[in-house]
Amino acid sequence: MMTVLNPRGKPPGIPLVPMAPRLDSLDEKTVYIVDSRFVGGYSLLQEMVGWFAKNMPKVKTVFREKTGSYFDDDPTLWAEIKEKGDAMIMAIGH
Amino acid sequence: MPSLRTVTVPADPYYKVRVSVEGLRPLAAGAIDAIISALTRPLTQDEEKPKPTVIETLDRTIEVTAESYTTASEKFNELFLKNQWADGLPIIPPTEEAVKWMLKGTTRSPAEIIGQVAPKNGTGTIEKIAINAVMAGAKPEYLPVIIAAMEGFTDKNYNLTHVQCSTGSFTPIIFVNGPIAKELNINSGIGFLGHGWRANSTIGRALRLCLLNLGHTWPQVNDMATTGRQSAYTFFTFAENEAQSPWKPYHADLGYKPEQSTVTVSTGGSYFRSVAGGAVVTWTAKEVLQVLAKTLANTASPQLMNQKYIIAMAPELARELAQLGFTKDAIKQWLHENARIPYSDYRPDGIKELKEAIENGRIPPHVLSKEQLKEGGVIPVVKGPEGIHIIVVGGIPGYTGVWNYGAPAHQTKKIHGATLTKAGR
Repeated sequence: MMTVLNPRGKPPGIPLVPMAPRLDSLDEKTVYIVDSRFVGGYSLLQEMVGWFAKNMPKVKTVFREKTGSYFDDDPTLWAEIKEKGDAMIMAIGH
Repeated sequence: MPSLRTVTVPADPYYKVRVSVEGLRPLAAGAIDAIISALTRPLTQDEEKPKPTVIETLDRTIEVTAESYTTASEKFNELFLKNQWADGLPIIPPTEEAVKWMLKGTTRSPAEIIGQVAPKNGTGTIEKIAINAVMAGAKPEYLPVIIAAMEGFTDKNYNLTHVQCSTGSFTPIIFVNGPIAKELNINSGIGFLGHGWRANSTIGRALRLCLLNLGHTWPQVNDMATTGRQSAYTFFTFAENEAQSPWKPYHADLGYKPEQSTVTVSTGGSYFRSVAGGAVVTWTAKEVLQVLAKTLANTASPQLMNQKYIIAMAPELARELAQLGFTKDAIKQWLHENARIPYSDYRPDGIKELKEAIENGRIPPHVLSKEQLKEGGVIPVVKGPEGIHIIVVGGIPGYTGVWNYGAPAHQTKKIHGATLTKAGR
């Protein structure tokens, strides 16, 4: 029998944050549409902004680009969304 | 994961059509229903009150039973590879005895925590590093170098998640300075990126296994390097050729004493670009400088000048430049001034990013102004000479090469705690 030591590092438990309550509808709500700045996300989200304006005009969309590159944090933007937004859509992860 | 609702856009055709608005329009429209549903569909019980994640239980030991050592060794290798704990090459079994032997190389406690290793933040203790070092075939005297390198990788200013997971296929670069390099016989001359030196090969491999096992990565799962990394098994591991350099060693420029030993962990893009020099074509130092400037410009990526360049400079070139009066700082300054990208070569989204970065101060005005962003203008590849690193390495004759990488991932750490070498104590 061969006994060896385990090479794996133990990861910490991940505390899961409960999701925010859902909206009954998006009408009259402010939906932030955020570009994470990965290539192509800007154009995709601009199309979504256009789609909402044409098909669901009661939804108020606010487009924002996250600061820096796609792996930079943007606490100022998160604070703005928390204060003024009802929902957020962010793209694009990969 | 119950705490995040995501909507997927098919990678095929997204990656192909994202260059055109017309191509993206149907994809955007096609995702809207799912997005609205994600925002309005009532939460499930799990989403409202997510249960704590199950922490991976790790047994301290693993047993393999077979009728002979040979069979047990083969079963052990198969088991580790099947579990994604090895790199595909045969590994040395990390028995209690072997790990105890490895730990003789350091005064540091096996229980000491070096850091959490991204992306899954496995805890890296001295013992865990030693286990992976045994698997790699390293010797105990290499352990202090490996530990210091892991300190670099787990530093909060080293973007290890990006290096480990990106599609960019980045390869860590590890180089050693100071007297420990000679004591350990780390190759810094001809063949410095090649095979044949146990220290180069197994220090690099130990780090490869540490990042895999402590960071919990695997190709096609969360290590998305599309082509795989160059030098995937050992990374680029070498020592600076301090003996043949006309200048102070790299770590002395950072304030370390030359008699101290350090390891620097950095990152290179998906290729090492051999620039010029060598024994075949005739060259002059000034010609090679010009080629270097063009290479820096040609290999730049549009990351707001966050990138850095590592120049692995052949000793012959270093000496000729020194004879012409160049210091390392002077070379860096010259390259910063001469490695430029024409405005016309930038994509519109890249120009837009640069304008924003100038407006919010991320690019200082003395580096680039909005007035330069016009036809006929040229744009620097780095914010300043500090983005260019020069390490003298290789032999005579030798080629000079360049790596670059577009994000912060560069740390130098002092080697200490050594017991089996005079240096690094």
